Amino acid sequence: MRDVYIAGIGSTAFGKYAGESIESLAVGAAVDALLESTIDREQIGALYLGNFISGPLNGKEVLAGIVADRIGLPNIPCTKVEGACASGGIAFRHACLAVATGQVEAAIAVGVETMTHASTKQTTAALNCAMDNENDGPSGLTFPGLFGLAWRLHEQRYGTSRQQVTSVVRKNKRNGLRNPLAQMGAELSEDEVAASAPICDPIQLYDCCPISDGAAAVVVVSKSLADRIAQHLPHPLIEVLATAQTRGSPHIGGHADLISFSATVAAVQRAYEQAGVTARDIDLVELHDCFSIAEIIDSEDLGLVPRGQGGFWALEGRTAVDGDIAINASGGLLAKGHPVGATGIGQIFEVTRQLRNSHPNQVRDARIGMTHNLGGTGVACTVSILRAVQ
Amino acid sequence: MSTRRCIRCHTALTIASVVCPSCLSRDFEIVEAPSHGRLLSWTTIRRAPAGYPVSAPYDVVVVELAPGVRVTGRLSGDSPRPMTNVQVRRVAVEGDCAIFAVVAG
Repeated sequence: MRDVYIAGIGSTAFGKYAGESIESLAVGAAVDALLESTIDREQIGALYLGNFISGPLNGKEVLAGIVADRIGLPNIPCTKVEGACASGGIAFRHACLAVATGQVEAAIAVGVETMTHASTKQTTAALNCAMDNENDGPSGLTFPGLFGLAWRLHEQRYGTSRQQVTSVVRKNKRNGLRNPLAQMGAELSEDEVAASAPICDPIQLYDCCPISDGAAAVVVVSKSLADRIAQHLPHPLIEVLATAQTRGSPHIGGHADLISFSATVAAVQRAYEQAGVTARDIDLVELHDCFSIAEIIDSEDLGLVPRGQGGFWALEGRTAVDGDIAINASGGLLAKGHPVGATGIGQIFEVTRQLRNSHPNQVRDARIGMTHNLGGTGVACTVSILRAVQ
Repeated sequence: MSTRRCIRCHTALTIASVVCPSCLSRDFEIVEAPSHGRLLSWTTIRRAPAGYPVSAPYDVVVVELAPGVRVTGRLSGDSPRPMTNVQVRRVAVEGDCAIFAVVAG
Protein backbone atom coordinates (compact mmCIF):
# COMPACT_ATOMS: atom_id res chain seq x y z
CA MET A 1 0.00 0.00 0.00
CA ARG A 2 1.20 3.51 -0.81
CA ASP A 3 1.74 6.25 1.75
CA VAL A 4 -1.10 8.75 2.13
CA TYR A 5 -0.86 12.38 3.25
CA ILE A 6 -3.36 14.99 4.36
CA ALA A 7 -2.89 18.06 2.18
CA GLY A 8 -5.92 20.15 3.08
CA ILE A 9 -8.72 20.36 5.63
CA GLY A 10 -11.88 22.39 6.00
CA SER A 11 -14.70 22.61 8.51
CA THR A 12 -17.71 24.70 9.35
CA ALA A 13 -18.28 25.49 13.00
CA PHE A 14 -20.59 22.86 14.49
CA GLY A 15 -23.89 24.24 15.75
CA LYS A 16 -27.18 25.52 14.40
CA TYR A 17 -27.55 26.77 10.83
CA ALA A 18 -31.14 27.86 10.42
CA GLY A 19 -32.10 28.08 6.77
CA GLU A 20 -28.82 26.75 5.34
CA SER A 21 -29.07 23.70 3.12
CA ILE A 22 -27.12 20.53 3.81
CA GLU A 23 -25.41 20.99 0.42
CA SER A 24 -24.21 24.49 1.29
CA LEU A 25 -22.51 23.29 4.50
CA ALA A 26 -20.83 20.40 2.71
CA VAL A 27 -19.70 22.64 -0.14
CA GLY A 28 -18.26 25.22 2.27
CA ALA A 29 -16.09 22.65 4.03
CA ALA A 30 -15.08 20.93 0.77
CA VAL A 31 -13.98 24.17 -0.89
CA ASP A 32 -11.92 25.13 2.17
CA ALA A 33 -10.16 21.75 2.11
CA LEU A 34 -9.57 21.94 -1.66
CA LEU A 35 -8.15 25.47 -1.58
CA GLU A 36 -5.97 24.67 1.41
CA SER A 37 -4.53 21.62 -0.35
CA THR A 38 -3.43 23.84 -3.28
CA ILE A 39 -4.09 21.00 -5.71
CA ASP A 40 -6.05 21.41 -8.89
CA ARG A 41 -9.62 20.09 -8.92
CA GLU A 42 -8.78 17.95 -11.97
CA GLN A 43 -6.41 15.95 -9.77
CA ILE A 44 -9.18 14.77 -7.43
CA GLY A 45 -9.94 11.19 -8.49
CA ALA A 46 -12.70 10.25 -6.04
CA LEU A 47 -15.12 11.78 -3.56
CA TYR A 48 -16.54 9.99 -0.53
CA LEU A 49 -19.30 11.62 1.47
CA GLY A 50 -20.11 10.51 5.01
CA ASN A 51 -23.72 11.10 5.98
CA PHE A 52 -26.24 9.22 8.08
CA ILE A 53 -29.77 10.60 7.82
CA SER A 54 -30.07 13.14 5.00
CA GLY A 55 -32.88 10.98 3.62
CA PRO A 56 -35.27 10.99 6.59
CA LEU A 57 -34.38 14.50 7.87
CA ASN A 58 -33.84 16.39 4.60
CA GLY A 59 -35.46 14.25 1.93
CA LYS A 60 -32.15 14.29 0.07
CA GLU A 61 -29.88 11.53 -1.17
CA VAL A 62 -27.12 11.30 -3.83
CA LEU A 63 -25.37 14.03 -1.86
CA ALA A 64 -21.93 12.86 -2.99
CA GLY A 65 -22.71 13.62 -6.62
CA ILE A 66 -24.50 16.85 -5.72
CA VAL A 67 -21.53 18.19 -3.76
CA ALA A 68 -19.10 17.22 -6.56
CA ASP A 69 -21.35 19.00 -9.06
CA ARG A 70 -21.48 22.19 -6.97
CA ILE A 71 -17.71 22.40 -6.65
CA GLY A 72 -16.97 21.54 -10.26
CA LEU A 73 -15.18 18.24 -9.77
CA PRO A 74 -14.54 16.16 -12.89
CA ASN A 75 -16.55 13.08 -13.86
CA ILE A 76 -15.20 10.94 -11.03
CA PRO A 77 -16.75 8.27 -8.79
CA CYS A 78 -18.72 9.98 -6.01
CA THR A 79 -20.01 7.75 -3.24
CA LYS A 80 -22.04 8.34 -0.12
CA VAL A 81 -21.11 5.99 2.72
CA GLU A 82 -23.21 5.30 5.79
CA GLY A 83 -22.26 3.71 9.09
CA ALA A 84 -24.45 5.71 11.48
CA CYS A 85 -22.23 7.89 13.70
CA ALA A 86 -19.11 6.38 12.08
CA SER A 87 -20.10 7.53 8.56
CA GLY A 88 -17.45 10.27 8.47
CA GLY A 89 -14.63 7.99 9.63
CA ILE A 90 -15.63 5.46 6.99
CA ALA A 91 -15.61 8.13 4.25
CA PHE A 92 -12.11 9.17 5.31
CA ARG A 93 -10.89 5.59 5.24
CA HIS A 94 -12.27 5.03 1.74
CA ALA A 95 -10.58 8.19 0.46
CA CYS A 96 -7.29 6.98 1.97
CA LEU A 97 -7.76 3.52 0.43
CA ALA A 98 -8.37 4.98 -3.01
CA VAL A 99 -5.00 6.73 -2.80
CA ALA A 100 -3.16 3.92 -0.99
CA THR A 101 -4.17 1.33 -3.59
CA GLY A 102 -3.01 3.53 -6.46
CA GLN A 103 -6.47 4.07 -7.93
CA VAL A 104 -6.15 7.85 -7.65
CA GLU A 105 -3.49 10.43 -6.78
CA ALA A 106 -5.87 12.51 -4.67
CA ALA A 107 -9.28 12.04 -3.07
CA ILE A 108 -11.62 14.16 -0.99
CA ALA A 109 -13.71 12.98 1.94
CA VAL A 110 -16.61 15.16 3.07
CA GLY A 111 -18.83 14.62 6.09
CA VAL A 112 -22.09 16.45 6.66
CA GLU A 113 -25.31 16.39 8.65
CA THR A 114 -28.09 18.86 9.35
CA MET A 115 -30.42 17.98 12.22
CA THR A 116 -31.44 21.06 14.18
CA HIS A 117 -34.24 22.03 11.77
CA ALA A 118 -36.14 18.84 12.63
CA SER A 119 -38.25 18.28 15.75
CA THR A 120 -36.69 16.28 18.58
CA LYS A 121 -39.21 13.53 17.82
CA GLN A 122 -38.16 13.35 14.15
CA THR A 123 -34.47 13.44 15.05
CA THR A 124 -34.79 10.75 17.70
CA ALA A 125 -36.72 8.52 15.31
CA ALA A 126 -34.09 9.02 12.59
CA LEU A 127 -31.20 8.33 14.98
CA ASN A 128 -32.94 5.18 16.17
CA CYS A 129 -32.53 3.83 12.62
CA ALA A 130 -28.98 2.96 13.73
CA MET A 131 -30.31 0.27 16.07
CA ASP A 132 -30.93 -3.36 15.22
CA ASN A 133 -34.63 -2.64 15.66
CA GLU A 134 -35.64 -6.16 14.72
CA ASN A 135 -33.94 -7.28 17.93
CA ASP A 136 -33.54 -4.36 20.33
CA GLY A 137 -36.58 -2.35 19.25
CA PRO A 138 -39.25 -4.26 21.19
CA SER A 139 -37.63 -3.44 24.57
CA GLY A 140 -37.95 0.31 24.00
CA LEU A 141 -34.20 0.84 24.34
CA THR A 142 -32.74 4.16 23.15
CA PHE A 143 -29.12 5.20 22.47
CA PRO A 144 -28.75 7.02 25.79
CA GLY A 145 -30.30 3.89 27.30
CA LEU A 146 -27.51 1.70 25.93
CA PHE A 147 -24.96 3.92 27.64
CA GLY A 148 -27.04 3.99 30.82
CA LEU A 149 -26.77 0.17 30.86
CA ALA A 150 -23.02 0.40 30.31
CA TRP A 151 -22.58 3.06 33.01
CA ARG A 152 -24.24 0.88 35.68
CA LEU A 153 -21.98 -2.05 34.84
CA HIS A 154 -18.86 0.14 34.84
CA GLU A 155 -19.90 1.51 38.21
CA GLN A 156 -20.47 -1.98 39.62
CA ARG A 157 -17.24 -3.44 38.33
CA TYR A 158 -14.79 -0.59 38.77
CA GLY A 159 -16.41 1.78 41.26
CA THR A 160 -16.80 4.54 38.69
CA SER A 161 -18.57 7.45 40.39
CA ARG A 162 -20.89 10.26 39.28
CA GLN A 163 -18.10 12.68 40.21
CA GLN A 164 -15.66 10.91 37.88
CA VAL A 165 -18.10 10.89 34.97
CA THR A 166 -18.91 14.53 35.66
CA SER A 167 -15.23 15.35 35.34
CA VAL A 168 -15.36 14.13 31.72
CA VAL A 169 -18.27 16.49 31.02
CA ARG A 170 -16.54 19.43 32.71
CA LYS A 171 -13.23 18.82 30.89
CA ASN A 172 -14.80 18.55 27.43
CA LYS A 173 -17.10 21.53 27.95
CA ARG A 174 -14.10 23.54 29.13
CA ASN A 175 -12.06 22.44 26.10
CA GLY A 176 -14.97 23.51 23.92
CA LEU A 177 -14.66 27.06 25.24
CA ARG A 178 -11.23 27.24 23.62
CA ASN A 179 -12.40 25.88 20.26
CA PRO A 180 -14.16 28.48 18.07
CA LEU A 181 -15.77 25.64 16.06
CA ALA A 182 -17.45 24.17 19.16
CA GLN A 183 -21.20 24.39 19.64
CA MET A 184 -21.43 24.24 23.43
CA GLY A 185 -18.31 25.13 25.35
CA ALA A 186 -19.04 25.96 28.98
CA GLU A 187 -17.55 26.23 32.42
CA LEU A 188 -19.79 23.94 34.45
CA SER A 189 -19.86 23.14 38.15
CA GLU A 190 -20.39 19.61 39.46
CA ASP A 191 -23.76 20.73 40.78
CA GLU A 192 -24.89 22.06 37.41
CA VAL A 193 -24.13 18.72 35.76
CA ALA A 194 -25.84 16.79 38.58
CA ALA A 195 -28.91 19.04 38.44
CA SER A 196 -29.44 18.68 34.67
CA ALA A 197 -32.56 16.86 33.47
CA PRO A 198 -32.63 13.06 33.82
CA ILE A 199 -32.64 11.31 30.41
CA CYS A 200 -32.24 7.66 31.30
CA ASP A 201 -30.66 6.80 34.62
CA PRO A 202 -27.90 7.50 35.39
CA ILE A 203 -27.53 9.64 32.23
CA GLN A 204 -28.55 13.28 32.50
CA LEU A 205 -28.75 16.03 29.93
CA TYR A 206 -25.14 17.22 30.26
CA ASP A 207 -23.95 13.64 29.78
CA CYS A 208 -25.31 13.76 26.21
CA CYS A 209 -23.86 15.40 23.12
CA PRO A 210 -26.07 18.06 21.52
CA ILE A 211 -27.98 17.83 18.24
CA SER A 212 -25.90 19.66 15.63
CA ASP A 213 -25.46 20.82 12.07
CA GLY A 214 -22.06 20.93 10.45
CA ALA A 215 -19.65 19.73 7.80
CA ALA A 216 -15.96 18.89 7.53
CA ALA A 217 -13.72 17.83 4.65
CA VAL A 218 -10.21 16.54 4.02
CA VAL A 219 -8.10 16.13 0.89
CA VAL A 220 -5.68 13.20 0.89
CA VAL A 221 -2.89 12.73 -1.63
CA SER A 222 -0.24 10.21 -2.68
CA LYS A 223 3.43 10.61 -1.78
CA SER A 224 4.38 11.70 -5.27
CA LEU A 225 1.72 14.40 -5.30
CA ALA A 226 2.63 15.39 -1.74
CA ASP A 227 6.28 15.80 -2.76
CA ARG A 228 5.24 18.06 -5.65
CA ILE A 229 3.08 20.39 -3.54
CA ALA A 230 5.15 20.35 -0.34
CA GLN A 231 7.32 23.34 -1.26
CA HIS A 232 4.51 25.82 -1.78
CA LEU A 233 2.13 24.39 0.82
CA PRO A 234 1.66 26.95 3.62
CA HIS A 235 1.28 24.22 6.26
CA PRO A 236 3.01 20.91 7.03
CA LEU A 237 1.77 17.67 5.47
CA ILE A 238 0.33 15.11 7.85
CA GLU A 239 0.96 11.42 7.22
CA VAL A 240 -1.86 8.88 7.59
CA LEU A 241 -0.06 6.06 9.42
CA ALA A 242 -3.14 3.86 9.71
CA THR A 243 -6.86 3.79 9.11
CA ALA A 244 -8.79 0.72 10.23
CA GLN A 245 -12.46 -0.19 10.14
CA THR A 246 -14.22 -3.03 11.94
CA ARG A 247 -17.64 -4.43 12.72
CA GLY A 248 -19.16 -5.26 16.09
CA SER A 249 -22.52 -6.62 17.12
CA PRO A 250 -25.51 -4.59 15.92
CA HIS A 251 -27.62 -5.77 18.87
CA ILE A 252 -27.10 -5.57 22.61
CA GLY A 253 -27.22 -9.30 23.29
CA GLY A 254 -24.34 -9.87 20.88
CA HIS A 255 -21.81 -7.90 22.92
CA ALA A 256 -19.60 -10.16 25.00
CA ASP A 257 -19.24 -7.36 27.52
CA LEU A 258 -21.51 -4.31 27.69
CA ILE A 259 -18.67 -2.07 28.84
CA SER A 260 -16.32 -2.77 25.98
CA PHE A 261 -16.95 -2.40 22.26
CA SER A 262 -15.25 -5.24 20.41
CA ALA A 263 -15.25 -3.15 17.22
CA THR A 264 -13.11 -0.52 18.95
CA VAL A 265 -10.73 -3.07 20.44
CA ALA A 266 -10.25 -4.77 17.04
CA ALA A 267 -9.93 -1.51 15.10
CA VAL A 268 -7.27 -0.07 17.38
CA GLN A 269 -5.28 -3.30 17.33
CA ARG A 270 -5.22 -3.20 13.53
CA ALA A 271 -4.39 0.50 13.53
CA TYR A 272 -1.47 0.04 15.94
CA GLU A 273 -0.14 -2.80 13.76
CA GLN A 274 -0.51 -0.82 10.54
CA ALA A 275 1.12 2.24 12.04
CA GLY A 276 3.88 0.37 13.86
CA VAL A 277 3.18 2.30 17.05
CA THR A 278 1.75 1.47 20.48
CA ALA A 279 -0.67 3.26 22.77
CA ARG A 280 2.29 4.88 24.52
CA ASP A 281 3.23 6.71 21.31
CA ILE A 282 -0.14 8.48 21.06
CA ASP A 283 0.03 12.11 22.19
CA LEU A 284 -3.63 12.98 21.73
CA VAL A 285 -6.90 11.40 20.69
CA GLU A 286 -10.25 12.63 19.44
CA LEU A 287 -12.59 9.83 20.51
CA HIS A 288 -16.30 9.16 20.27
CA ASP A 289 -17.77 10.70 23.44
CA CYS A 290 -21.42 10.66 22.32
CA PHE A 291 -22.14 10.30 26.04
CA SER A 292 -19.84 11.08 28.97
CA ILE A 293 -19.50 7.43 30.02
CA ALA A 294 -18.59 6.55 26.41
CA GLU A 295 -15.34 8.53 26.73
CA ILE A 296 -14.35 6.42 29.73
CA ILE A 297 -15.15 3.16 27.94
CA ASP A 298 -13.48 4.26 24.69
CA SER A 299 -10.29 5.40 26.42
CA GLU A 300 -9.98 1.93 27.95
CA ASP A 301 -10.90 0.07 24.74
CA LEU A 302 -8.25 2.06 22.86
CA GLY A 303 -5.60 0.96 25.37
CA LEU A 304 -4.84 4.57 26.29
CA VAL A 305 -6.00 4.16 29.89
CA PRO A 306 -5.80 0.93 31.93
CA ARG A 307 -9.07 -1.04 32.02
CA GLY A 308 -11.36 0.29 34.74
CA GLN A 309 -9.27 3.43 35.29
CA GLY A 310 -11.03 5.74 32.82
CA GLY A 311 -13.04 7.54 35.50
CA PHE A 312 -10.06 7.89 37.84
CA TRP A 313 -7.85 9.31 35.07
CA ALA A 314 -10.50 11.83 34.07
CA LEU A 315 -11.00 13.06 37.64
CA GLU A 316 -7.25 13.32 38.23
CA GLY A 317 -6.83 15.49 35.13
CA ARG A 318 -4.70 12.92 33.34
CA THR A 319 -6.83 13.21 30.18
CA ALA A 320 -6.73 17.02 30.06
CA VAL A 321 -4.84 18.95 27.39
CA ASP A 322 -1.74 18.99 29.62
CA GLY A 323 -2.32 15.47 30.99
CA ASP A 324 -0.75 12.06 30.26
CA ILE A 325 -2.96 11.63 27.19
CA ALA A 326 -4.99 14.56 25.84
CA ILE A 327 -8.52 13.32 25.16
CA ASN A 328 -10.88 15.48 23.10
CA ALA A 329 -8.98 18.76 23.26
CA SER A 330 -11.54 19.99 20.71
CA GLY A 331 -14.34 19.58 23.24
CA GLY A 332 -15.35 16.26 21.70
CA LEU A 333 -18.88 15.41 20.70
CA LEU A 334 -20.08 16.62 24.12
CA ALA A 335 -19.01 20.23 23.54
CA LYS A 336 -17.97 20.58 19.91
CA GLY A 337 -21.19 18.90 18.80
CA HIS A 338 -22.17 15.83 16.81
CA PRO A 339 -23.44 16.49 13.28
CA VAL A 340 -23.42 12.74 12.84
CA GLY A 341 -21.99 12.25 9.34
CA ALA A 342 -19.47 15.08 9.83
CA THR A 343 -18.09 13.95 13.19
CA GLY A 344 -15.47 11.46 11.98
CA ILE A 345 -13.97 13.94 9.52
CA GLY A 346 -14.24 16.71 12.10
CA GLN A 347 -12.00 14.54 14.30
CA ILE A 348 -9.45 14.26 11.47
CA PHE A 349 -9.65 18.07 11.09
CA GLU A 350 -8.96 18.58 14.81
CA VAL A 351 -6.04 16.14 15.02
CA THR A 352 -4.52 17.59 11.84
CA ARG A 353 -4.56 21.06 13.37
CA GLN A 354 -2.92 19.68 16.52
CA LEU A 355 -0.17 17.99 14.50
CA ARG A 356 0.37 21.18 12.52
CA ASN A 357 0.86 22.88 15.89
CA SER A 358 -1.90 25.34 15.03
CA HIS A 359 -4.80 24.32 17.27
CA PRO A 360 -6.51 26.93 19.47
CA ASN A 361 -6.33 24.43 22.34
CA GLN A 362 -2.90 23.08 21.44
CA VAL A 363 -1.44 19.92 23.00
CA ARG A 364 2.23 20.53 23.61
CA ASP A 365 4.71 18.54 21.48
CA ALA A 366 1.91 16.73 19.61
CA ARG A 367 3.54 14.35 17.11
CA ILE A 368 1.17 11.38 16.80
CA GLY A 369 -2.61 11.64 17.09
CA MET A 370 -5.53 9.24 16.88
CA THR A 371 -9.20 9.45 15.92
CA HIS A 372 -11.93 7.03 17.02
CA ASN A 373 -15.39 7.06 15.46
CA LEU A 374 -18.06 4.58 16.62
CA GLY A 375 -21.40 3.89 14.94
CA GLY A 376 -24.70 2.41 16.09
CA THR A 377 -24.54 0.21 19.15
CA GLY A 378 -20.91 -0.49 18.29
CA VAL A 379 -21.66 -2.06 14.90
CA ALA A 380 -19.12 0.06 13.00
CA CYS A 381 -15.85 1.59 14.11
CA THR A 382 -12.95 3.42 12.52
CA VAL A 383 -9.62 4.26 14.13
CA SER A 384 -7.02 6.36 12.33
CA ILE A 385 -3.51 7.32 13.38
CA LEU A 386 -1.85 10.45 12.00
CA ARG A 387 1.69 11.75 12.31
CA ALA A 388 3.32 15.10 11.76
CA VAL A 389 5.86 14.92 8.92
CA GLN A 390 9.22 16.01 10.21
CA MET B 1 -41.47 -17.21 25.11
CA SER B 2 -39.40 -19.43 22.88
CA THR B 3 -36.05 -19.19 21.16
CA ARG B 4 -34.68 -21.17 18.26
CA ARG B 5 -31.87 -23.65 17.90
CA CYS B 6 -30.15 -24.49 14.64
CA ILE B 7 -30.82 -28.14 13.79
CA ARG B 8 -27.54 -28.50 11.92
CA CYS B 9 -25.01 -26.89 14.30
CA HIS B 10 -27.10 -26.48 17.49
CA THR B 11 -26.36 -22.76 17.84
CA ALA B 12 -28.93 -21.10 20.09
CA LEU B 13 -30.51 -18.03 18.48
CA THR B 14 -32.05 -15.27 20.53
CA ILE B 15 -32.13 -12.86 17.59
CA ALA B 16 -34.37 -12.49 14.58
CA SER B 17 -32.59 -13.92 11.53
CA VAL B 18 -33.68 -16.14 8.64
CA VAL B 19 -30.43 -18.09 8.71
CA CYS B 20 -28.12 -19.43 11.38
CA PRO B 21 -25.16 -17.00 11.50
CA SER B 22 -22.83 -19.88 12.35
CA CYS B 23 -23.58 -22.36 9.53
CA LEU B 24 -26.12 -20.49 7.31
CA SER B 25 -28.68 -23.26 7.72
CA ARG B 26 -32.34 -22.26 7.50
CA ASP B 27 -33.59 -25.14 9.64
CA PHE B 28 -34.44 -24.43 13.25
CA GLU B 29 -36.23 -26.12 16.09
CA ILE B 30 -38.16 -24.18 18.67
CA VAL B 31 -36.89 -24.51 22.22
CA GLU B 32 -38.42 -23.02 25.31
CA ALA B 33 -36.23 -20.21 26.62
CA PRO B 34 -35.19 -20.41 30.26
CA SER B 35 -37.52 -18.26 32.31
CA HIS B 36 -34.93 -17.34 34.94
CA GLY B 37 -31.76 -15.41 34.41
CA ARG B 38 -29.24 -13.00 35.85
CA LEU B 39 -29.82 -9.27 35.53
CA LEU B 40 -26.69 -7.84 33.90
CA SER B 41 -27.71 -4.20 33.84
CA TRP B 42 -30.69 -1.86 33.77
CA THR B 43 -31.60 1.70 32.95
CA THR B 44 -34.71 3.79 33.37
CA ILE B 45 -35.82 5.26 30.05
CA ARG B 46 -37.42 8.65 30.67
CA ARG B 47 -37.95 9.56 27.00
CA ALA B 48 -39.35 6.72 24.91
CA PRO B 49 -38.62 6.30 21.18
CA ALA B 50 -41.24 7.87 18.90
CA GLY B 51 -44.20 5.55 18.44
CA TYR B 52 -43.22 3.16 21.22
CA PRO B 53 -46.42 1.75 22.70
CA VAL B 54 -45.33 2.05 26.36
CA SER B 55 -45.05 5.47 27.95
CA ALA B 56 -41.93 6.44 29.88
CA PRO B 57 -40.59 5.97 32.44
CA TYR B 58 -39.89 2.26 32.15
CA ASP B 59 -36.88 0.09 32.94
CA VAL B 60 -34.95 -1.68 30.19
CA VAL B 61 -32.88 -4.64 31.30
CA VAL B 62 -30.27 -6.95 29.83
CA VAL B 63 -30.69 -10.49 31.13
CA GLU B 64 -28.38 -13.46 30.74
CA LEU B 65 -30.59 -16.54 30.41
CA ALA B 66 -27.72 -18.97 29.90
CA PRO B 67 -23.98 -18.45 29.40
CA GLY B 68 -23.67 -16.18 26.35
CA VAL B 69 -27.44 -16.07 25.77
CA ARG B 70 -28.58 -12.51 26.44
CA VAL B 71 -31.82 -10.74 25.79
CA THR B 72 -33.01 -7.18 26.21
CA GLY B 73 -36.40 -6.75 27.83
CA ARG B 74 -38.33 -4.57 30.23
CA LEU B 75 -38.74 -4.82 33.95
CA SER B 76 -42.23 -5.34 35.29
CA GLY B 77 -43.71 -2.10 36.58
CA ASP B 78 -44.29 -3.47 40.09
CA SER B 79 -40.79 -4.86 40.59
CA PRO B 80 -38.81 -3.63 43.56
CA ARG B 81 -35.93 -1.39 42.57
CA PRO B 82 -33.31 -3.63 40.94
CA MET B 83 -29.98 -4.05 42.64
CA THR B 84 -26.66 -5.53 41.65
CA ASN B 85 -26.39 -9.29 41.17
CA VAL B 86 -30.10 -10.04 41.19
CA GLN B 87 -31.94 -12.91 39.58
CA VAL B 88 -34.97 -12.18 37.45
CA ARG B 89 -37.86 -14.25 36.19
CA ARG B 90 -39.78 -13.76 32.98
CA VAL B 91 -43.36 -12.99 33.91
CA ALA B 92 -44.88 -12.01 30.57
CA VAL B 93 -44.23 -11.32 26.92
CA GLU B 94 -45.72 -8.11 25.51
CA GLY B 95 -45.41 -7.71 21.78
CA ASP B 96 -42.00 -9.22 21.16
CA CYS B 97 -40.64 -7.95 24.45
CA ALA B 98 -39.93 -10.18 27.44
CA ILE B 99 -41.04 -8.69 30.78
CA PHE B 100 -38.94 -9.66 33.79
CA ALA B 101 -39.44 -9.31 37.52
CA VAL B 102 -36.83 -9.43 40.27
CA VAL B 103 -36.96 -12.66 42.25
CA ALA B 104 -33.97 -12.62 44.61
CA GLY B 105 -31.18 -10.34 45.78
